[in-house]
Amino acid sequence: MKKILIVDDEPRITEAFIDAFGLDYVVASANDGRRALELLESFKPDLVVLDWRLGGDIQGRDVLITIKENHPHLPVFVVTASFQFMDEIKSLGANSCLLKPCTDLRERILEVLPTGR
Amino acid sequence: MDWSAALHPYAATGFLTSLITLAVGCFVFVQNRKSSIHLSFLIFSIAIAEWSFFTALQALPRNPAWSFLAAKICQIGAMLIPVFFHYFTLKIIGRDQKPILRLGFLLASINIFAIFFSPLFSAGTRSIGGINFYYKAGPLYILCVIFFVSYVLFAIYQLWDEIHSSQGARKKHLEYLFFASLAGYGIGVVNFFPVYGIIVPPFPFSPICGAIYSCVIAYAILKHQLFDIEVILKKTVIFAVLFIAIYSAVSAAVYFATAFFASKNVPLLSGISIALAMLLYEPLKKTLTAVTNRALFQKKIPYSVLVQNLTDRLAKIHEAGALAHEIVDFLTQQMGLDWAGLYLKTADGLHFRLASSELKALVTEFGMESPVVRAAAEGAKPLILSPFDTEADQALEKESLRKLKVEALVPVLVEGKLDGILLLGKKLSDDVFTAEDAALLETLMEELGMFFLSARLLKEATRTHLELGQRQKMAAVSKLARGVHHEVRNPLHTINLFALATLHNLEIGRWHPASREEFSQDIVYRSRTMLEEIERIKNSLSRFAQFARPQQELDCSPIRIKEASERFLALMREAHKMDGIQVRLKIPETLSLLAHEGVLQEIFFNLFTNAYEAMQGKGEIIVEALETSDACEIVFSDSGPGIPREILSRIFEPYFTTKTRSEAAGIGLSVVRHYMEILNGDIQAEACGPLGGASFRLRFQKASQVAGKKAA
Repeated sequence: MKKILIVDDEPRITEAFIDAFGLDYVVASANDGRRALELLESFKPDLVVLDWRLGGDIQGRDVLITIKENHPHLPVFVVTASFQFMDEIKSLGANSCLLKPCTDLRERILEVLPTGR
Repeated sequence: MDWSAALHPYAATGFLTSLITLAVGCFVFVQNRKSSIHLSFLIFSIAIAEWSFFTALQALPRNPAWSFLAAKICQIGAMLIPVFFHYFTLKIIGRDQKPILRLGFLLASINIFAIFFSPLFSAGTRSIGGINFYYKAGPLYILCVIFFVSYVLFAIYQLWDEIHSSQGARKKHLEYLFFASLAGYGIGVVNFFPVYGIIVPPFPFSPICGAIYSCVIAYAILKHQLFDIEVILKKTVIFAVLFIAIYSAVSAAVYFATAFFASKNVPLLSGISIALAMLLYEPLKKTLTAVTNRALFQKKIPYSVLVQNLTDRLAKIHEAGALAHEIVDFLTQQMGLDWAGLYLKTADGLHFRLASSELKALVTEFGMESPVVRAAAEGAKPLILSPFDTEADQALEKESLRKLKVEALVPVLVEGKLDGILLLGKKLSDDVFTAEDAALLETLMEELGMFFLSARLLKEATRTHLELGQRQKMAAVSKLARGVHHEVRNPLHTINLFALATLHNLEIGRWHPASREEFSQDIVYRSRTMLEEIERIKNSLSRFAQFARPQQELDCSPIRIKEASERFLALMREAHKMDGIQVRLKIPETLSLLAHEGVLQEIFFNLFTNAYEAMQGKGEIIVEALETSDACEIVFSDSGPGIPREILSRIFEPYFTTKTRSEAAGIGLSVVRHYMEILNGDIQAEACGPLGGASFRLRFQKASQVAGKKAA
């Protein structure tokens, strides 16, 4: 199964994401940027769903830049609760910028990672 | 020369008249050299002085020729007196009769020539009334007498005519001049009889009529400010009376002392005299000042008290319109005016608009080109109109003021620029504005400028403060909105994912009986979580609404702090929020504050939640209440880690937090501050309180101020 790394500082969101997509994908979660970068190397996901605003010293912006530098072909969906960062997110190379709550998240993920179900 | 003859009553009064008349004329002229009225009065006075001097001088020579010469020179003044009197009268009443004046000068000149060179007019000298060589009239001298009397009557008639067409203060002035002239000339014409050898009382004291006339005019000056020498003459009168009074008192003391003490102890007597003089001086001076002011100078208002009273009242007012109203009201009452109005410059600087007026003003607004505004802008001191002001200087402006029934104009200068115009109508007593009135208005002019400057600065500071407060509020609301945006979308995202999960489970058949129980448990869990997230959204939205709503009226009432705190703690215990937390209340039983019950509970809740999270559910809280002189304070302290000093100034900002993530994080204290503002109180934070953790001091209004007061 394809692997998805979900990065969000709210545990409920990562928990709900696993609940929603855990049957079709192998999902790993990180609640901060540092853990996300660790899993990026160890878990080797096929898709990263990344929250723009993370707690701590490593923000979603930093994670996105690192991914695009080290894994330029790895698709990244950036999820945000605010309109104001969309232009910046696109300019940094995110494949998709989604506004919370994203009601067509499943369809978008399936486009990138079809399950064959 | 027979100098002893100078003591003859005729000579003595003549010299005295000359001196007094000349002095009064010079005083008048010095006060306003540019005024033609003042100049005409000086010329008139010189004529009288010349006449009385030489009429007295004719009594001195032992040689009849010198007496005759002095008498003829005296007749120059006599012939010019009616002409200059007419000239002075014309200046007073503002008429122009140049042809008559020229005719008068011509006739006077003819008479003078005839008196000097024709024995038909001047027949020599005679002895009369103790004077050896008195002027003797010729047969045609009667023409001079007719000229004098008819010309004087003509001039007096001009006065009479003008009186009928005048009113108010001007009429009073003219009436006074009229009767004074009648009396003065009525006595003065007696001086013609001795030239025919006829003695008519009050001869030989008749020259004094000139002095009397001058003094009467001087009194008119004092009483009605016909000319402005009030201060000088007042001081002269006071000094003279003081000197006489003290001299008399000391002399009396010395006299009785020498009468009763056999040995003349000079040092003792001197000491007693000096002590007496010192004791008498100050009270006597005060009494004389008050008497002269009341009796002679129409000053019924103690001006220093008036200025002090007005400035005391104005000091309590900080708004320009209210200042204007107070000034107009005060001056109208205290100065007895029929009208007063204060015009203030509009915000655009193009007009002066009526800000306050006693009685209906004729004009409500002046443009910058108005003569009234020009008059105010040109003067650095108050402009007071005289009833006899016929000068061309500022004629247009003065005419405009007269049409508005204005008698005084006071410019109000703020930082050197004209900011207001105070117009005063006539006095109800018909008295004119005196020199002291002018001094009062000049003092007020300076004071008013300061008060209006103060009002303007306060208005600008308030507006700036309001704008700043509004900008801060909007910035806070904007930040709050972004925070709420975030606090709503995240829970919605969770709900969205759980809904997707449920839907997906159904789609792939997880509802199958074999996995139904597990599926059901998942549904229950997701549903509960979604409901919690919905609650989170609800709380965020309601907090935002509380913060962002316009400040509205709350019905505040006295609340006993101890009872309110205990009610709150009971609620927290029901919600199991008190486990691990020990709360101590140090609150007097009867201490009350002014607040809204619901808002107070919200404040307690936010502070309690803040402390609970900081202590991680375990620790101690102290709530202490105390009363100060002007407020009621509650101090809320916890035993948590405290507040880092570097962030202390930011803790009341919306969504400012040092925590990684928590429900509605960072908004509680901003809500508390917002509520305290609504309640007209404030909140201060300390980094390290009595328990080592954070401490918050809340200041409320005391319940004793006004029960049930509405807070903005």
